[in-house]
Amino acid sequence: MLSLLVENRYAVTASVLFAVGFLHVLLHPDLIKKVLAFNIMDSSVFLLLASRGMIAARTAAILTDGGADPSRYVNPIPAGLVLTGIVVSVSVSAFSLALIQRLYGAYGTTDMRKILEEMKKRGE
Amino acid sequence: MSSLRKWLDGEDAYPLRAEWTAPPSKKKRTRKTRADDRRQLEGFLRVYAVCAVVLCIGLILCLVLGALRLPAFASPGNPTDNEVVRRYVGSAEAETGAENVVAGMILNYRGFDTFGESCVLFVALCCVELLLWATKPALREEAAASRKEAPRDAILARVCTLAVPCVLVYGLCILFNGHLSPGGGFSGGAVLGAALILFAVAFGGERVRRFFTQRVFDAVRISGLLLYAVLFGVYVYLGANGIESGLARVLVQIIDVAVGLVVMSTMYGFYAFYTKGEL
Amino acid sequence: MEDKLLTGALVFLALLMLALMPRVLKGPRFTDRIVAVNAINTMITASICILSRRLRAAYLLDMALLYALLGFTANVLLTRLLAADRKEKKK
Repeated sequence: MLSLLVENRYAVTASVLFAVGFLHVLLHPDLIKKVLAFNIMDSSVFLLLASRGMIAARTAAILTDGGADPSRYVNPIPAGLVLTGIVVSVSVSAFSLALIQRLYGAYGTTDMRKILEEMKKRGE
Repeated sequence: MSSLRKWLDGEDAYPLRAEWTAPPSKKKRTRKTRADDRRQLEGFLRVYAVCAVVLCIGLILCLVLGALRLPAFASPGNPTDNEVVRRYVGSAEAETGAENVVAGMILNYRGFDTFGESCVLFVALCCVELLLWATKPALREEAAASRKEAPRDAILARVCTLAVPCVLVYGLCILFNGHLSPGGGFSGGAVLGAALILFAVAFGGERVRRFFTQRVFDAVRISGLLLYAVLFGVYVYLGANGIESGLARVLVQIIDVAVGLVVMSTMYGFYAFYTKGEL
Repeated sequence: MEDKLLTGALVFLALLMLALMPRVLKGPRFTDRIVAVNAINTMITASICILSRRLRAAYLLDMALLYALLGFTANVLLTRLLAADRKEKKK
C-alpha cells in the first residue's frame, strides 16, 4: 500500500489537491477565494497530466543533437494538453474576476452570502 | 424530520428553489417570517457544509484509489508511452521543420486546437472589455485622480529603464526561436506582455498609450488571429504534412508570431482593463 | 559526487522554502508576505538553475530566466497595489 502510494506520489498529490480545491469552491463564501480554489483544481490537473507524461531516462521532446530516436524522448502530447489547459484556465479566471468586479461595483462586497442577502433586501 | 415529511409530501424544504415560483407578496412578510427564513437558511448552510466535507473526503478516496491502480510514475509502461511518440518524434523534424517537437506539434498536427485556444483568449479579452467598459467613466476619473498625485517611483523607473529592453529582447528571442528551443508563441507573447506591463507600471499608462493606442491594440489582436487563420488555411491547402520542410518551417514561424501577438495583446489588455478600465 | 552535492543543495533549498511558508501563510503584515514570497521566488529560480545542471538540460536555464522575470513583475505589481491601498487608507 505504502509503496504504491510512493510509486504514484504525483497522482496522489494531484487528487488530494483537486479535492481540497473542490471543497473550497463549495464552502468558501468569498467569490475571489472561489476563483483561487478553481485555479488550485486546474493546477492539480496539470500536475497529473505532466507527471503522466514523464518516462524515466527520457528527456523533453526537443531534438538537440540531431538524432530523432523515439526511445529517447517523452510524448509531446501531455505538454500540449497542459498548454491548452493553462490558456483556458487563464481565460476563465479573467472572465470570472471581471464578473466579480462588476458584482463588487453593484453590491460593495465579494462575499456571496452578503450579496444574496442584499439581493433579497432589494427585492430582486 | 419535518423537512423529510415535507419532502415526502412533495413540498420544497429548502429556501433555494430550483424552480421558479411566484414570490410571496411583500405585505405578508413580517419580521417573524424573516427570522424564520434566516434560521432555515442557517440550518441549510450547516447541512450543506457537512455534505460538502463528506463529498470531498469521498472524492479524495475515489481519486486516490484510482491513482493507485495507475502504472507507477515514470515507468516505461505508462499509457503515454505509445505509438504517437514514435510517429511524432520520428517524423516531426522532416514534416514541420521544428526541432522543438511540442511547438511543431501544437502548430501543425494540432493546429486547429491552437487556433481554438487563440480564439478563447480573444473572446475572454472581449468579455473582460465589455464587462469593465460600463464602469469606465467612474474608473477613468479615479485613475486620472490617482495619476496626478502618484509620484513616479525613482528606483523602479531606473531599474525598468535597464530591465525592459532586456526583457523585450528576451521575449522576441523566445518568440522567434520557438521551433528550436523551449518557448514559442505562448511563452514569448507572455514575456512581451510582461515587458509592456512593467513599462506601464514604471512610467505610467500614458507613455504606453503613446504608441499602443486603442486602434493599434485592436489591430494587433485582430490581425494576429486573422494571420493565423489565413496562414493555417494556406498550409492545409498546400498539403499540410506533405509540403517541403523549408516552406513548412517558414509558415510555422509566422503562425507562431501570430499566436505571440494575440497572447501579448491579451496579457496587456487584462492588465489595462483591470487597473484602469480602459487601454 | 557532484550529483549528490547538487541534490543536497536542492533539499536544503526546499527546507528553506518550507521554513518561509509560515511567514507567507500567517505573516502578520502584508509586507511580510510580499518579502517572503519574493524570497521563495529567488530560491525557486536558484533551484531551477541547480536542476538544469543536475539533469544536464540546458533549456531549463531559459525557464529560470522566465521565472525570475515573472516573479519580479508580480512583485512590483503587488507592491504597487499595497502602496495604493496605503494611500487610500491615509485619506
